Amino acid sequence: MPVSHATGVGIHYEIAGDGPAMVLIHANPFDHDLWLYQIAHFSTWFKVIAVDIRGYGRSDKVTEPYSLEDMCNDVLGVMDKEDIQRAVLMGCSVGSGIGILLGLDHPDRFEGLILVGGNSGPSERFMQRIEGYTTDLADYHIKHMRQLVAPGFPETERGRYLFNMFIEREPRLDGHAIAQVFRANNSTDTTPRLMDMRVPTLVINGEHDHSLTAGELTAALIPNAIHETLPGTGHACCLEDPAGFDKVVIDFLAEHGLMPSAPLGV
Amino acid sequence: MPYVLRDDLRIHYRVAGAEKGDGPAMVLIHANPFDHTLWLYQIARFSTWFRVIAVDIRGYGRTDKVEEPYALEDMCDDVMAVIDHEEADNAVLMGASVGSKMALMLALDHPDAFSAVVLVGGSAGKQPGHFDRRIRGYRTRGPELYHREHLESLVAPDFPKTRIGDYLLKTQTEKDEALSGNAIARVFEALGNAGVDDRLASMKPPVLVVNGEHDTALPRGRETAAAIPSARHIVLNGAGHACNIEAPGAFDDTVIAFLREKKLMPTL
Repeated sequence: MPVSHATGVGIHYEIAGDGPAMVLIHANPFDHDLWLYQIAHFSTWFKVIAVDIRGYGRSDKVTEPYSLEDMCNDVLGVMDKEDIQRAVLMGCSVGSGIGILLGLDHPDRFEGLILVGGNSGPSERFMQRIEGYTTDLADYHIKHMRQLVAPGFPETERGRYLFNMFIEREPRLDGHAIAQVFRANNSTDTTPRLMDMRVPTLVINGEHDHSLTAGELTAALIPNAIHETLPGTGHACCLEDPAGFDKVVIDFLAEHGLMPSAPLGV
Repeated sequence: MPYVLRDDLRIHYRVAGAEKGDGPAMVLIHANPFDHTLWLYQIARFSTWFRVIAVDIRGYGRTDKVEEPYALEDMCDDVMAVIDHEEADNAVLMGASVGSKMALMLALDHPDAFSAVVLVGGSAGKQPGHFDRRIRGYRTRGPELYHREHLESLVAPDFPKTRIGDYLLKTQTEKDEALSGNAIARVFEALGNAGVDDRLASMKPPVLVVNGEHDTALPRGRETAAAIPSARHIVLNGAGHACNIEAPGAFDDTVIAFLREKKLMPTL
């Protein structure tokens, strides 16, 4: 995986495909492979850049405090390194918070925002997560993931396979570094600024997503934003039901003239 | 999204996981009529430990569509060009279907280049006439009319009816506009004309052959495994020829157990 050091923090990312840029920012407590289906599928039309945010995957595990803006700068650093002027940005959970802030502060760099979750403010839940990760990483990691999907998904063959993949990577994780991601997310409230968003925005929530109300609010406050709810899924809907998820994304991109008409750069 | 140029041919591949020098390499060669995304699960899973290099073979993905005849040896040289460019020494080599015959040929022709070989399918002999129906399908009906039918024949009967199965097959047919029926037919011609069955006894790296229960290549996979002194053969229940995308859990576990036994499985 290539790495950017633009902010002094090592940020690893993967590149797939070619064409207009699509940047993917994953959720806690996953890494870029939260998007494994979207990396494969959207690479048919896009140059997909899937980032490991600080605290996850092969990126640095930062245990000192920082802000959500620092995490935004990590993403801009990756785009600069790859010489990407403008991109479609897709972010899930904390990644959607990063997407909102990037869209507000750098509207010239983003052509479209797809926010999964779409929470724009602090949450009581973040404090529970910090407590969980700083007490017992291994114990809390699986509990947390189970809360992010629809009931029953972890017991399916595919659910077991996918969760196991992230659990297998626990030796790379540090509970105190994960806690800092939640602190950064919790200390930023972009709600009062949403009315100023100029980037076309789609907000997606799973039916069982604990962020559903927050996502609906975000979509209601951003001018012309579209909101979609995916039945039978939770917060991690892109992983649970890639068929339903990708379809609403493609429809949104097509409507805004952002979907390349031909595959593989033909 | 890197590319390597060999003569005038542009070969595309995807790299995931460890950086150069930071972990062993694993090279993936996909089957007809997929591209490197046949391995989407294995690219994610094995990138935990390996530098995964997933090649688009000629005729597929972002690699050039070659309309003139060529040999399977040429397709192997394409893969070696990627391996050389990426300095992927001592890689685990994993191939499905046409990719599995290429993997056999690569490991026989470059016995010191690979630490282990995993074959999905695993046919080794010449197969004259065997692919005539495929070749006709792609030449006369073209990818738009034939691709889905072919894909469905490579998986267990119920897989295309599942939501995830239908999705995964559609991600392949969505690329039809960029494919050439004649270029795909050339891959089948090269595959049918190539045979390495008389050389299998001299195979140097350890070999694992995997077949799905519904895989029409199962008897030939078994023959290949029997002809290689060190080879292991595993059958995955409920899956077809494309077992790695149908049953990634069972498939990966089989590969990981094999690599662990050969002391080729890194730990974090």
